[in-house]
Amino acid sequence: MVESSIPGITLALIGIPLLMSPIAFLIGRLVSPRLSALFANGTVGSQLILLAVSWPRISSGGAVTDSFPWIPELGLTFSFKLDQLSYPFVLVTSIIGLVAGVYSLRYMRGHQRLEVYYSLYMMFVSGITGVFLATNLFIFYIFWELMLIPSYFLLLIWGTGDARVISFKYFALTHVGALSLLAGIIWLNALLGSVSYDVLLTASGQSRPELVLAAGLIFIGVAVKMAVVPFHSWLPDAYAEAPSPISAVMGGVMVNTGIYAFARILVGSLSDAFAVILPIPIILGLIAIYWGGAMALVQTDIKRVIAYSSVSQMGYVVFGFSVLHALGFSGAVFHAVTHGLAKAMLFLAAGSIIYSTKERDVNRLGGLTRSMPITSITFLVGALSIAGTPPLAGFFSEWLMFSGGFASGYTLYTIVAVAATALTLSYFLRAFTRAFLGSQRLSVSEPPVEMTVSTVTLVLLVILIGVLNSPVLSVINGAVPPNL
Amino acid sequence: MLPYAPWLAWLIPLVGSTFVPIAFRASKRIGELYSVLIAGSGSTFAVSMVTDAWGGRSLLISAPWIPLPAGRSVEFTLLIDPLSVLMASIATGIGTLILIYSIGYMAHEEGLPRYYFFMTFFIGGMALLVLADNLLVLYIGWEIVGLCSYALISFFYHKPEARLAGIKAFVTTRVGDVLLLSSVLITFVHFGSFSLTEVSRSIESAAARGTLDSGILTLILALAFGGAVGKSAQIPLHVWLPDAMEGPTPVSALIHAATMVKAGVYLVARYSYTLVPFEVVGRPYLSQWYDAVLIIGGLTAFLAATMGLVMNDIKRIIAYSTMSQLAIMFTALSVASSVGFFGGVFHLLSHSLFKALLFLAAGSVIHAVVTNNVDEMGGLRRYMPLTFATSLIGVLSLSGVPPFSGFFSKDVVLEALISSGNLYGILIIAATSILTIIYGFRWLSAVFLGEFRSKVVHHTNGGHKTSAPHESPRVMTVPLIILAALAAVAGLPPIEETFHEYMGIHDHIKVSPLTYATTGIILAVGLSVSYAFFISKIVSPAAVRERFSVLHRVVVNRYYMDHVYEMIFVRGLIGLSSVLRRYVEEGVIDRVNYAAARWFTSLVNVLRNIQTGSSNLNVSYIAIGIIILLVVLLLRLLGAL
Repeated sequence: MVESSIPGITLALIGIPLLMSPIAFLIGRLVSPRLSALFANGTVGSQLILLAVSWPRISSGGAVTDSFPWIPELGLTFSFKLDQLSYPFVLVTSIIGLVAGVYSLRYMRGHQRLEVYYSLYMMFVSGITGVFLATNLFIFYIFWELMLIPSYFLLLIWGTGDARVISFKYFALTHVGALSLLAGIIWLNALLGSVSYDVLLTASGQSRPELVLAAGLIFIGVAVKMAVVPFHSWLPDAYAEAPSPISAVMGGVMVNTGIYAFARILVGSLSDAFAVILPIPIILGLIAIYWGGAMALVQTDIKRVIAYSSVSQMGYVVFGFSVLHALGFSGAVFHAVTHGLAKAMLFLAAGSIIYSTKERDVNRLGGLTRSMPITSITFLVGALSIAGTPPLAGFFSEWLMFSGGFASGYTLYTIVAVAATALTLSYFLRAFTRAFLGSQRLSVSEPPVEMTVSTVTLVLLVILIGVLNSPVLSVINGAVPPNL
Repeated sequence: MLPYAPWLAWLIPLVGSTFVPIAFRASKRIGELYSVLIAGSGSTFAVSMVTDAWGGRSLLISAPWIPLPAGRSVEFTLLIDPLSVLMASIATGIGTLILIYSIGYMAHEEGLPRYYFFMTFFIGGMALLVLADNLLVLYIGWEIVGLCSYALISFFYHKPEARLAGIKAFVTTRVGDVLLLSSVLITFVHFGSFSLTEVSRSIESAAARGTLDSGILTLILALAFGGAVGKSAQIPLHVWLPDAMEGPTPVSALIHAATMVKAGVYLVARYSYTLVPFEVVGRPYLSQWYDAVLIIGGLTAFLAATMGLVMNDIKRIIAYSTMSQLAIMFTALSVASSVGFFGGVFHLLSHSLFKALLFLAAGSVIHAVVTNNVDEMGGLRRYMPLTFATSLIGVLSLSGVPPFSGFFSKDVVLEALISSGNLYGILIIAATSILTIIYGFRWLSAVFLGEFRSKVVHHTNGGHKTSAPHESPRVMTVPLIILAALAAVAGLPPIEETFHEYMGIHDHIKVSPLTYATTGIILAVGLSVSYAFFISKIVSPAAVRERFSVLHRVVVNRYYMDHVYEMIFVRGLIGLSSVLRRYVEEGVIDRVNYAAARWFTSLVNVLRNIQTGSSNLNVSYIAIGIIILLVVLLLRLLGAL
């Protein structure tokens, strides 16, 4: 494998948003909040340039790394690595980070302390990026916690509803998960003497009980982050009450950290130990798919419908990984991309509705498609993609996961999972019909162009990645662990 | 063929459709012409492939598509053979005619860019579906047409019925789609390929070696048939089709008569022709599957015909007729012989013509009288002679009266069933055929014969009112005439011979005297009953209704199947979800989670006591810490010493 000769890319990916965050704050305080907003978007956008620069190396099967000596006693180096597994995750992070940031320009206008909003936003994006680029579980865990703090404040300060209780519930519950993860990491360190990813790989063929315990602890930590039933109760509240661009980042990107950890640690390194606790994760995944779907069916708050849909979709991802097949792995990672984009799109569309109508109950909306055609197309495309309708992107990730299920011999489980796409379609069509069709009750207009340009970008991406899936999928296929 | 025809036949309408809204921005006329143009060029490319497929020849075209782990990949493959070219020509050709008709029919509607976008997108999707060799590509086309069907059924979205009908159609067919997708993926996992021809090769070689696993094949075929049942509106997934009549009439003609609902029939035909060729893997290997097709087909054919007999909506009657006719095609295919296959496909062709014709004629009537209720029609033959004449051809063809196309195609179906000797199939199709004649003539007489029963003043033309309905504009009647001419002649023996040669069926198809006798009995019974009821009025339909009022009520209520589904799958599901939400989600899970959060808070509050904020205390903590560390170090040093 070719290692990078271009120094500093991974450091810059994390460091630019992190170090520029206080500067954004100062610009906001000293010059104008509007300039700080533009500055923040430029900073997040710079990630895309760095990713474009590393594309040739990644697409040819290489990796981009930065490494410094750190704690030799524990076999740890202070190093970051952008490889074929982390690349799609970071890519989605920067795309949604930029799109939601641009969307915030208008959506958040008129709110208090915008310079704080933007500097927290940058820290949030940086923290998420760090999770994907870490090369050992200690750094991974540091960033895992780091992304939690700005998101907590974003939810607390700009959230709606009972923001204080909801943000604390979010903080506390995800912390319980993080503790389980930490326990798993410490236990692994005790077992293997190091938690660098290279050392973890040596454990891939083993299934001794101690490792199974570590895998179980880590699975719980990941499950809380992915909001797998019954650890999901923080998610609907947090997603629904956060400001819509933050919901988009949480629902589209933050949840991907859980998917990434699943891919990297559980399936990528501890697969044999993880296999011991099967089929519990598969069954949990199926329960989550149906539970989330059933709950989404009876919500009337449009953002809660979308939030419960995340609970359901994460069930698919858990399923896709847990069948332990190369096709399922590839599909589940690809689902992080396709679901992330579609989910961000849906939250931004919901944000446009709330922005224009000041209303979020689907029973009080209606007939919006006439006055908000772009938003209605955005919502429909996002919903159809998540419901696995070809040729949109979501279909391709879903059939790969299902093929993995069939290929591993879980025929009945897989048919049950496929059948849930009808439920997905039902709850989305129900919400779409109520909000967008029917007689018009509110006289509104399409939101300003800064917001529609963001949603339209995502619509085009979801169509494009569906029709031309080969570049992304070949990178993801290169990341499939050899033991599958 | 024209250059790149296998690609352009579907790509032009599919991709071209996205520019429809832009064309409409220029002007309405340009938008309409553009739509007709892209559908028309699609059909030119589709028809140009006829020569390549002539005589049963086939051609495989492929392009790289999806990369898979471990260096494998999925190819995007298209299959050009008589069946696919026929279906693609029907989809694009009839599609073009219906788009022309739409220019007149939809002239005064709002939302035309949306209408023409989904119509042309549909045509492209349908062509893709039938040209696909890769099952995943087929599934993509399958879902595209389903999406367009949803959007077009709900076209008049301000009407609650239209919105609900759209959802009902999309979700009900999705149940079938789930089964089809499972079937496709199991095929892929089991045979390592999505390509129909490739999988078929491994099945054929397994059959030659005698190592064929008919269990897995039956599973694959049964699941795929589930998809066909949903798409072709067969019992038990039929409930969406009658409601789909909420869409504009050209939509019903194109999607819910001529093309999309044929996708299920096409799928079964394709599987029994290419995947498990009936000549190689015969009926005995897969008898369970073929029996299931026969039973569902027979049941649907008969029950749908009875429902068609009692409905009062001009379009719903034809919709039930569509269900019933599609079911007849399934029974023909279930024979798994070259006669059955030819009969099924031939009937598919003639049905596409006469059913599209009937729908367009119904549209012409609705356009004139602005109602769907046949009780408010009657006597229209005087006002709309062209529509009447073309409808008559449609009904005669549907009824299987010689020399119209339906007669010949139904004859082959009957011949196949009789030659198979399956009494259930023969009897149920004969009974269905009799009912078909009766409901066909009931429809014709209610709409066109007798006296005009509506008192409503219909049209307001520039202020002055005209009370009598009038013939539709030429842009609508010309497609009617073309379809009527085709439906009239498509079955004639020379054409049948040519079609037979085109399909490349080796066996000679000879209709036996027994079949002719059966057809004769069906026609005699059907026509005389129709004559007695609707022409001479010797017997009053109302009296019969009175006599069998209980049965009538059951049939009018569609055997209560819609009610039961509504109770279980709509109200039941939502009710169950609400209960779970109230008592489990909010009652247990949320409560436990909040308790955990509270517990965490109190823990934090306890720990908070050591965070006094007093710097003296903090410094002393640090000091204690340092001392402990020093002691530990000292002990270690001592231990080392």
